[in-house]
Amino acid sequence: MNRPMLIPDGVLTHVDYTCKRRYTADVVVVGTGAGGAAAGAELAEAGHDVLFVEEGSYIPQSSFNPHLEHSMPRLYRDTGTTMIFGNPTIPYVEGRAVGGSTTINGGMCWRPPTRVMDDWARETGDTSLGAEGMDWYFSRVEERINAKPQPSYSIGPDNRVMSRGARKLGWEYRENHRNQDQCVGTNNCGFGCPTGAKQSTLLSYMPRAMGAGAQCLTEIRVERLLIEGGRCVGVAGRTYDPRTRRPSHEVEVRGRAVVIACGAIQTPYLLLRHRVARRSRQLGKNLLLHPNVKITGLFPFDIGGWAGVSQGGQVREFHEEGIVLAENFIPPGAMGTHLPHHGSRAWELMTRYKQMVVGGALVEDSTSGRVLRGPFGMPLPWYQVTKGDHARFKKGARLLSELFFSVGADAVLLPFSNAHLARSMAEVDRILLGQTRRKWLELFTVHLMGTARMGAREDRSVIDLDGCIWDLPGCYVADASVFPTAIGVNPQVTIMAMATRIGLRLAETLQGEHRAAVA
Amino acid sequence: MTTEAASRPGTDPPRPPRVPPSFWGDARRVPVDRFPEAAPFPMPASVHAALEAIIRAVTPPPPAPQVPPDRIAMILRRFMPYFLRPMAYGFCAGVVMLDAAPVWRTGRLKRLQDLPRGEASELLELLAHSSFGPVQQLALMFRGAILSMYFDQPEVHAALEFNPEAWMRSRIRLRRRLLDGGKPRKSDHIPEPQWPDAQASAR
Ligand SMILES: Cc1cc2nc3c(=O)[nH]c(=O)nc-3n(C[C@H](O)[C@H](O)[C@H](O)COP(=O)(O)OP(=O)(O)OC[C@H]3O[C@@H](n4cnc5c(N)ncnc54)[C@H](O)[C@@H]3O)c2cc1C
Ligand code: SF4
Repeated sequence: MNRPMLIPDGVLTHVDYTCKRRYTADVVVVGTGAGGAAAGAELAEAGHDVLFVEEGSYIPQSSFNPHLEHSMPRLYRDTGTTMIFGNPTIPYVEGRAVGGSTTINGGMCWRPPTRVMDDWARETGDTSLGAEGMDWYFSRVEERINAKPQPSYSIGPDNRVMSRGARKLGWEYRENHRNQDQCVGTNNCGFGCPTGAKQSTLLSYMPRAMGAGAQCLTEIRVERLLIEGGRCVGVAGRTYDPRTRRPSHEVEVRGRAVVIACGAIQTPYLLLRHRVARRSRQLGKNLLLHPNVKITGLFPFDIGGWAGVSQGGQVREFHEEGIVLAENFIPPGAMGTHLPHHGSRAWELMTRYKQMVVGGALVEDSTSGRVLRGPFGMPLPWYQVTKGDHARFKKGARLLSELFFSVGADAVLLPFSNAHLARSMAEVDRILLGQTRRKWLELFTVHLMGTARMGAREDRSVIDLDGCIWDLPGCYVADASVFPTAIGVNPQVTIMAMATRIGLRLAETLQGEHRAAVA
Repeated sequence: MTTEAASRPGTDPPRPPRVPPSFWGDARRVPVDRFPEAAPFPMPASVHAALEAIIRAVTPPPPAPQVPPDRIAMILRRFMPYFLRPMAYGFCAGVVMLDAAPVWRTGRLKRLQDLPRGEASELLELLAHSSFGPVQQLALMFRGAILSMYFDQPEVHAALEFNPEAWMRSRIRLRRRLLDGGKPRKSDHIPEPQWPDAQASAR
């Protein structure tokens, strides 16, 4: 079979493994998303030989389009059919392609509030994890991914609905910084940016790493660590037949250090196969979701929300209560998954697609779940929404409804499986009164974090302050799973900042080892 | 190298080159990248027929555009190899369960595929409101999967006056112009909605 077109040098695909199945490097980085790409690029630029191993394919920018039919298999894990069990069941999505979830994310760049970072410093006893200590890393990331305010020509009608509503109600509205370079507002961030404006790791950190000599083995799912003499010396995974998606031959990649960056679900799933972090038993625990509810405003005039950036800003008025409001427009196909009806009633609603604005109320977790290792390659994430968070979701739904009505909506669709349509605030309040059961809540999440938490004590955390698993030398974690606690904002820059710190510290360690060996 | 010695913000090495022009696409539905898409998941003909019946019951009847159920069924089957295996087999089992819903829900000795479209649709609506969680989840899962593919089809987009490809191509051209040093024009800004209060005050 031929190598697919448009694959840059240094990126290998399943075709290449028919000839060669063993690779070596200084550092093996598993995953090319926010964490893996940032850590790997720092290591490569510090002069180390880096080999990325990525389960997904390299999908070039020219493939990105607004249709689900061919985008979902290329870009989304399990074509988006992933879910977290509990009351209620929570669907989630994550990326499976070079660039990981950053290829399909919304590009919002928020640092965590100072109180959160200072909590991390207190909890770990390491002041360099506080807001001041991390400032250098955040600035470095923001510069590398070009986190900037949006240009005015990218702002669309649904962004204006949010800002206008917030202004009318006297709520604080803050414009987003996004990792973009001349974003023109095509609103396709969720299916890959077709203009190349979004500086996902596909276009920012990965080219940097490859420019410094790194290579990327794509289409290999890492299944286990190679452990010899109590030290991690590499990984083994399987490539798959692209036609049947069944696993085929095994590929082994060895290195002096291994960095695991598969995301907050897949990282614990992989590590749970080996008995690591035994003293704390924290591996897989502390699953944080930052879940959201979606509310759709229906307006008596055309909006055309698909034009303009996916989120221009956020309503920050309720941030101290852990609630953030933002618009989040989606194409009709994705809208189809949220509809409260099917058949003619679904059509009736969707004939008003041009008049819709979709918003989300994100709630900071006050609890956490866990990831278990299930059979047949299945991670089993588990999370129970608390009563307090249930109340905050209801409050978020009410606030967004109020905002939509304040700018002229004639109805809203609410996120409750037993009652959806409300034509006034009085109706919203009546529906909210009836929301006594958590199972009626329709939640969704894309911000998974915290399942291999960092800490200063082996009996309380999975990795030490350098990112190394306490009882497995040579094995590091550098992705969303390292967060000690919930951050309450979009996580990508925090993940990249933590991965930068872990990558630079590892580069130093390897250099020290090298110097010692030479001496 | 030490952390201190690492380049500080503001003194970074130059950013990597921008994507070369050959990488610019045109947002077309079927990308020309020779990504090897999986073959449809194997499914017995009887299960495929049941899936088509569920699709007919879930998709909107006329005057909504009619998308052949076989097309939606084949898209879903092309997605299935990407699911985890238990999920893919669970999907097939779900089809069989829903096809048998008239038996276990209403006690009638009929399959869903034997019911008229409207009746089948009503039965699925009933299941979607079931107070028994697993049944409700099953109905909602199929509804979501089918409607997402229905509302992704070109004839449906046309009926909704949603033409994203043309919009995206115009913006791809705009960004190329800006990267070539062009200045944004007034017409590049996206128009405001026609706010009712603005119209009222204009009157
Ligand atoms: C739709 C969407 C919108 C979002 N919007 C925003 C936003 O606007 N702002 C923001 O800050 N955050 C956003 N996020 C969240 C953010 O993108 C993620 O939190 C972040 O990318 C996670 O980084 P990560 O490195 O932990 O994992 P990922 O970026 O998911 O990368 C993990 C990588 O590892 C690979 N992998 C997994 N398992 C294996 C294995 N066994 N072997 C080999 N490879 C493997 C995966 O294929 C993937 O490429 C969004 C996420 C999504 C999905
Ligand atoms: S809005 Fe469009 S141009 Fe801007 S980053 Fe998203 S996909 Fe790219």
